Amino acid sequence: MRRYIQHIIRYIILTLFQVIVLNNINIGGFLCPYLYVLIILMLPANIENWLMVIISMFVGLTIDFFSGTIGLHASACVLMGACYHAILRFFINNREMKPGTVADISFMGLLNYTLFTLIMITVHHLALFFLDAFTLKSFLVTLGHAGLNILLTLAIILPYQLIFRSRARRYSY
Amino acid sequence: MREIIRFLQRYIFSITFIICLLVSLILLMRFNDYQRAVSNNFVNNFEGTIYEKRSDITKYWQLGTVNKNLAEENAMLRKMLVTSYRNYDIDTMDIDNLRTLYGRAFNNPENPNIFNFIPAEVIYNTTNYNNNKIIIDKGKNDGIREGMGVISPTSVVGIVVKVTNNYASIMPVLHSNFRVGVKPISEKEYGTASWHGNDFRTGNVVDLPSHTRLKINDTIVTSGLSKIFPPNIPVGLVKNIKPKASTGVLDVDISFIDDYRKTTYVYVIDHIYSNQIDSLMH
Repeated sequence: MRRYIQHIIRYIILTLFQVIVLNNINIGGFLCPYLYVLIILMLPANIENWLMVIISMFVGLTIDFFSGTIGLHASACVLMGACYHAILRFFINNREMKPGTVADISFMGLLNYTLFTLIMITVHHLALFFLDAFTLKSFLVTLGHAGLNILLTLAIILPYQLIFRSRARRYSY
Repeated sequence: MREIIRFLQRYIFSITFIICLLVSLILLMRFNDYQRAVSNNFVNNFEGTIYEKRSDITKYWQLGTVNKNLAEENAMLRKMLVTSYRNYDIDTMDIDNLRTLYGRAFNNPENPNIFNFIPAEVIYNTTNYNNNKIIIDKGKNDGIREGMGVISPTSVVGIVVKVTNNYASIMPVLHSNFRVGVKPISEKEYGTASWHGNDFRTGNVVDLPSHTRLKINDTIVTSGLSKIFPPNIPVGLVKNIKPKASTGVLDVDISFIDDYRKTTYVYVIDHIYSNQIDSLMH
């Protein structure tokens, strides 16, 4: 029970932080860190993959409701949530996973975690930026914006992880 | 039962993923103006291309009716030729006489014609819904704009509602929102024709005053009170007249002249001064 409450509280706090603070950051007119993807990335790693997709969609939809872009973040999150297990498989093997294990920095180690998060954010941001542009006309510009934003989001997520890491079970730097 | 459960267990991820992605994308394209505009434009152009391909094949099925209608129209136009008049004499006829015969209509710079007709071909046509739709193969590039009237060689067809570069979508007479101002051909009383939805062969006319002299099989034509349709274009034949005592108007059933299932070639009507009329209206 405590585990569920923990996730729900994280969901509420990160959503509020995203829509109240981070959405107002607008570097150069297009850069905005999307920290809320952590809500999805910090769900228990042994979650059913179909449940992951549904939760991702609802997380995306809540962000959409507050930023007036219905469906945009939801689509990107659905794509990211669907890739979650396929990509996580390369970093964790199933035997290490106990129920409730969170794929975070203290469990995976800095290098693995950075790589994993980078791939997940890339999926999310590419979908987000190309659905936002909704055209392939200025392909390279959109790609460049997405790339810069990936770095920015990663630069917010890593300090967050280092500050709020849960009680360490294993370190392997 | 067990097979169904096993099937679900096996494919539940794919099913949820596809459903969620579709829902999100549909939301994206419905509630965001920019994405909706882009996707609508794409879908319309795509639709147009597909229907044109289909129409290339199916248009031959209706050539008989089309030929008959065009021949009738030709006959009518031929009747209006100078040579069809009794007092026609080729020796004394010169350009001034022609002008007298045709009056103000003939090529007179002081009296230019105000309606242009753009021929077009129907590439998609439905008649079995409450709100039907026609798509034609001419668009913005051919000078078609939203709000233009569309007629067939014999009757009224509809009004242009949406235009892409190469195609236009028409709200036909068989649409629950379609209204056109009409009058009996030999009277000066005006009413409104519409379609009530059940049968694609019959419509009705309301608001004709009860003292209108009207018989079964009289022709109902457009009134010409708007810039969309010129006057005297046939709409239908009177089929049934029901006086309404309480309101003092007639409720008239008409049978449409065209068989709208077979509409193939149409003319889009361009009122040359429609800009000026619009600027006065708003």
